[in-house]
Amino acid sequence: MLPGVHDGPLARTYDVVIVGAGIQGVGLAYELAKRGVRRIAVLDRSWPGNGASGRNGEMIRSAFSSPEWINLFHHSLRRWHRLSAELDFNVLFSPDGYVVLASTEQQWSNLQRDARTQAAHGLRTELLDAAAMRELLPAANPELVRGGILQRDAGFAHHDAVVWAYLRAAARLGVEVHAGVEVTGVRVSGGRVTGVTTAKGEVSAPIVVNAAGGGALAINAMAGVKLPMVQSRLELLVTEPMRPFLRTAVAPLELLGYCHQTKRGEFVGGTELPYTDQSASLNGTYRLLRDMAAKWVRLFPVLSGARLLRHWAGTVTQYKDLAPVIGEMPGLSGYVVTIGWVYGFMGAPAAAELLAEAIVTGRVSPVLAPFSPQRVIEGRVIAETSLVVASEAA
Amino acid sequence: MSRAARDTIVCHCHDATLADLKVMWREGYRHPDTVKRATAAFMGPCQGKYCAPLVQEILAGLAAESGVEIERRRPSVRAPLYPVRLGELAAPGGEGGR
Amino acid sequence: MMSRRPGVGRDRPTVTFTFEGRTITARQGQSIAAALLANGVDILTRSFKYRRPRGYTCGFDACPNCPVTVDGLPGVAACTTEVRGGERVHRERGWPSADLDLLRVTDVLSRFFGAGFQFRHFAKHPRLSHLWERVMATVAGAGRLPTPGAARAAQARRVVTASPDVLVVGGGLSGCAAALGAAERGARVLLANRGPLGGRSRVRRHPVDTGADGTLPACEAAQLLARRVAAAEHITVVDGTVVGAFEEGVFPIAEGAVLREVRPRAVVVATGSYELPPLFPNNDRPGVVLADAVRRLIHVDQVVPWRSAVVVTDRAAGHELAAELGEAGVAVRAVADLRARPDFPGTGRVPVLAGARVARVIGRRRVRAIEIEHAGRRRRLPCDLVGVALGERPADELVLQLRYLDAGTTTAVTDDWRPGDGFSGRVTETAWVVGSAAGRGGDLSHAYAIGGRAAEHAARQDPEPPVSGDDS
Repeated sequence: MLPGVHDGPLARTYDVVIVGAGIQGVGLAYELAKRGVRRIAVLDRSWPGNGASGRNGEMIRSAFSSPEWINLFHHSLRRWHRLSAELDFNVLFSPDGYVVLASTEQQWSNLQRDARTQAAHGLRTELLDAAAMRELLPAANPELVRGGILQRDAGFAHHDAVVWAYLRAAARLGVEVHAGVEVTGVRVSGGRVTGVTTAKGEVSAPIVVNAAGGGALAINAMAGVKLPMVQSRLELLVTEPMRPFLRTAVAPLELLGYCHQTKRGEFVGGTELPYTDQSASLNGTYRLLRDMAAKWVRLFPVLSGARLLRHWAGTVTQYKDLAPVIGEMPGLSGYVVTIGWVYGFMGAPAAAELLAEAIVTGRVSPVLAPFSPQRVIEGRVIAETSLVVASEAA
Repeated sequence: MSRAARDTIVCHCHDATLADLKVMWREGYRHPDTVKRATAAFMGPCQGKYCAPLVQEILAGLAAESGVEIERRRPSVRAPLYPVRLGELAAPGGEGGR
Repeated sequence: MMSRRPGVGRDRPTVTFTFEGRTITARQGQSIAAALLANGVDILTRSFKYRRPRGYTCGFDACPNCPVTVDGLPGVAACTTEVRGGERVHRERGWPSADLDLLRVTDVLSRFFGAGFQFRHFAKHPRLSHLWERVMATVAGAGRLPTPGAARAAQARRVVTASPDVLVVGGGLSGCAAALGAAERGARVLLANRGPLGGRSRVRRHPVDTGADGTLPACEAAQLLARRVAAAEHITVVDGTVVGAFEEGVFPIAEGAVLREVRPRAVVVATGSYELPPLFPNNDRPGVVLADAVRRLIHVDQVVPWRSAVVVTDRAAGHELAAELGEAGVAVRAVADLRARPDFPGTGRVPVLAGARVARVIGRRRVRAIEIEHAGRRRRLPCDLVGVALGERPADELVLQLRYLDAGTTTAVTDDWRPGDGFSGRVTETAWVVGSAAGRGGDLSHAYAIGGRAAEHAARQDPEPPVSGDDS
């Protein structure tokens, strides 16, 4: 299937079973194995990286508006800088900068406030006014550039490479990543999880982790867990390679979009409509294709002449505040979730490490704690306003 | 890998060669979708118009040699069927998706 | 026997365009690639990673080997773009030029640059990795960025909507037949085609049974049906690219200045076929040309830029190609037939090497010779054209998309979606496929009948109120 995927049969028992071999699942497996956990199985119904981990926009930042997001994602950003060296695989992390772009006075005012919050939390971000931002983004339509935040040491990476890197590293440490194994049931007894049922047999484990991305709600249902979360479909497009015209990643708040130009020269970008598309389909829609084309051409007029090569979709699950839901489910011992990831690619290195730490030691880091399932059960939200996905919580 | 295998071009868009396919197979990439991502075949302007039969034939041969089964499907087909300019899709008006 | 083919006669006016500072004279109707080949330009681009020379290969925009920049717009397929007159054309990759690309050092050192090389290097050296990436980024997309004027010109100016009864995708022989069949049954038909009607049949002369008009060479049948389609009152022909099938039931057609949103009641897919490429060392050299591309140059563009050829084939069509080349004045050195016992209408003049195997193509910048293994010996045959006739496969992308939408998932659809002989052509409740896209090339009666069936299906749908501003 791919290097790092386990060849042999599924065993009867493991210490930890992780459902979903995306970046969250494989990253967590690696971190657990690093901490000495012995028998770990990651089960994926297709193959590692076939979900959102292989379909996302590849962007990485920690320049957010809320302390909760800033702390978690900055921890992640610091890991990103060392990830290739640690995993001994070049994930092509490009710290070429990340711009959060304001097009209106309101957005500019919000970003000015965010910059102060970021500074207070030790982030090195810069507030660039219209003139300075236009200089940084010469290909951008000046009408859409009121100013923005530049995080210089943030940027983007190669999404397949990261999954492959974690997969190989996890396999080297003895993790079994099984492809083509669909989990069909989660076994629960007396308030504890005891294992999973799969198409290839029953597996016992005292700890079951739901890292199933777009499929997470179905796994929750199998465990009898119901959280007020929905599945969501996101769409992106990629053009043919072009001469570099955009150095940084850019998230224009006005366009509900995010984009960058890869190191192969391709422009990759996605946008959203101001409502959640709850389809489970992986087919792209015409309305989003039009939306993306119109918005990207508006922001970067040169793209009008760029040839579109591909338009695709991926699914995630989300809670109304669009923050991830990470931790052990109250009332169901041993059932851990790391779901609701809309910004999962950038957050995975930190989440994997901190969640592994929590699982092994029982102590939850204060960086991870705000994202607990408890907040979801209680209907609380983390107010993060610097997102380019339609959120109800802002 | 021989010079001959390196000079035998499978994916003309990204210069994936016969040698690349064989190396990737040996490394463990054994599914049409993972081979695609590992070699960049199917990911260029032709989106498989040129290379699909070659990739399929080579993988089938490698699978037969190794005595394994390989999924008989090509990586998924997505819009656009031929590359169109983003500007052509950005025209104002229309119904969008109804 | 040479039949009349639509082509670019010497009575057509000349047009000139600028190519990298030179003035090139062409005939109206010729493609940019043909005009360049006629003027001794074989290298049309350099490949993405190894900067290998590439040239005219497939003739039908199904490969990445001929993109040129025209008036500041990169990625224009030279093989299917007609010379307009006055445009400025240049090639896209190559430093300092496409003729001499110093970056071909990566080809010389290809063992260090195999697929995935970028993940193996500099993992422990983030600064070096970053620098390396910047170099790669500059090299990969080099030279290709639309000028502001070209970008503005590429923007479509308006959207129109259309709600035909039947949408036929592809205006080759079978597409035209299906459109006529549907119109005959009273349907309003929209036929979408890229370029002139007729498809690959415009360049072929094998016999086609047209029914009432008897058996004609394919190119003449194509002309006949194209004329009928153009004259048919209820068939609207649009020249554009169908972008894809979408869950909203819309088939957008990109026509340049116009984006047409088509919401048909029934769809007939007639997208034709792709030729099968060859696999041997240096299979990508300029001068290795697929059969239909050879035919297109000779018959449509009326350019014969080769002196001698070897045909590589495994079917009768390859021997026919050899005959056509001979008629066009090209010295055919041999037909290398991969079959041990080929059947062919031999003339005896062109040697046939049965049971041949291609060892490699020789030539650094273009084909100079081909090495064939035959009868235990390796023979070097000098030539400047290797014509490849290894068959074709359905251009089934749109069919697959329709099946994904129908099945609700991508994974359920395998390559063997055609369940053997006797395939009816039905793809989904509202879609059919005809012609070589269905593995039924040349079966015009089937295409015609399917058009009729699609029309009947459309007529049975509940009447929809017309879309506001409908332009169909």
